[in-house]
Amino acid sequence: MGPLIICPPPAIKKYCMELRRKKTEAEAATANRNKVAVPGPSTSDAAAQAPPETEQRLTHFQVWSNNEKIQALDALITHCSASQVRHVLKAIEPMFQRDFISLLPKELALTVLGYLRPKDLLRAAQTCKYWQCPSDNKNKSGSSEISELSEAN
Amino acid sequence: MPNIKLQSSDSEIFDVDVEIAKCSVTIKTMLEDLGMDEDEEEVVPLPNVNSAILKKVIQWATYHKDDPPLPEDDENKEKRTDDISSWDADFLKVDQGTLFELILAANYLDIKGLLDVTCKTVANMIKGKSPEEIRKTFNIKNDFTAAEEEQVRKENEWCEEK
Repeated sequence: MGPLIICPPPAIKKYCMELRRKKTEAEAATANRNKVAVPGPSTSDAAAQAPPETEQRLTHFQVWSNNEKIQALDALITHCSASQVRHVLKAIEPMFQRDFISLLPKELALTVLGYLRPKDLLRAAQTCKYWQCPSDNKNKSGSSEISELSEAN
Repeated sequence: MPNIKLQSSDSEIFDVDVEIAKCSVTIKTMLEDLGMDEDEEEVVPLPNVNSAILKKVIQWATYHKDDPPLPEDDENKEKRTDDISSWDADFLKVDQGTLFELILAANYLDIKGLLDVTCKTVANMIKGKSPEEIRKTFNIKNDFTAAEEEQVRKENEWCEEK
């Protein structure tokens, strides 16, 4: 699932169905997610273990109008424990996150980085290959844009 | 005050005071170049901005309509990020998706004040964080191998020791 997708209904449904029966596993998954910060693998695991009637209920959900879906989700949430709601929150959060530096047009990404001091720039450069060298995705070794910016500062 | 109509990408029409709309250099230039008369019932299409974002932009521009013009950027001056007004800080308490779209809209509409404050807000989300905290904030995958990560860390050590 790409970072640009905002809250696609199937994903929400999956998480909501999931949390109804996976109270204990939810906490394990949350702890796990705290470590990895990528929800990918644990959600597919969860889908594989969904009870057999899940698909059928999702089919029902699918035909409802947007308004009905929202009300159903509200009702579903009121039936969840705090830890289950927290699980949903963890699962949904990444959908609202944006890797600004990689996704913004280069000149805008560099505008953002231009506000940082050398120390913050160097830490930013250590996050991933793209951030290390945002103006050149191919990541030429030797000269990275962030280093140049920090030297200019 | 005369109004103009702005049309978002999802075809919603916004009736906006011309003076407020003109804080967008893109719209200002469009009106001047095309000689659109202010009393004409023209609709300005903005195909790159959806209604939710356009609504936010108009809200921002309305609040800031009497602001003095911004000084030119001075390359030699250190860029501050701690000068965001409390109204703007409150206005920008939105999810990252919305903030992202606001940056793109401010850039497309050429609204310098809004572009500055949104970019500063993102910079503030990076400041003072460790690489791991930055990854977590923006859901970034660490694509360095352990060896590469160690190498980058070593290269940057001099800065951490200060």
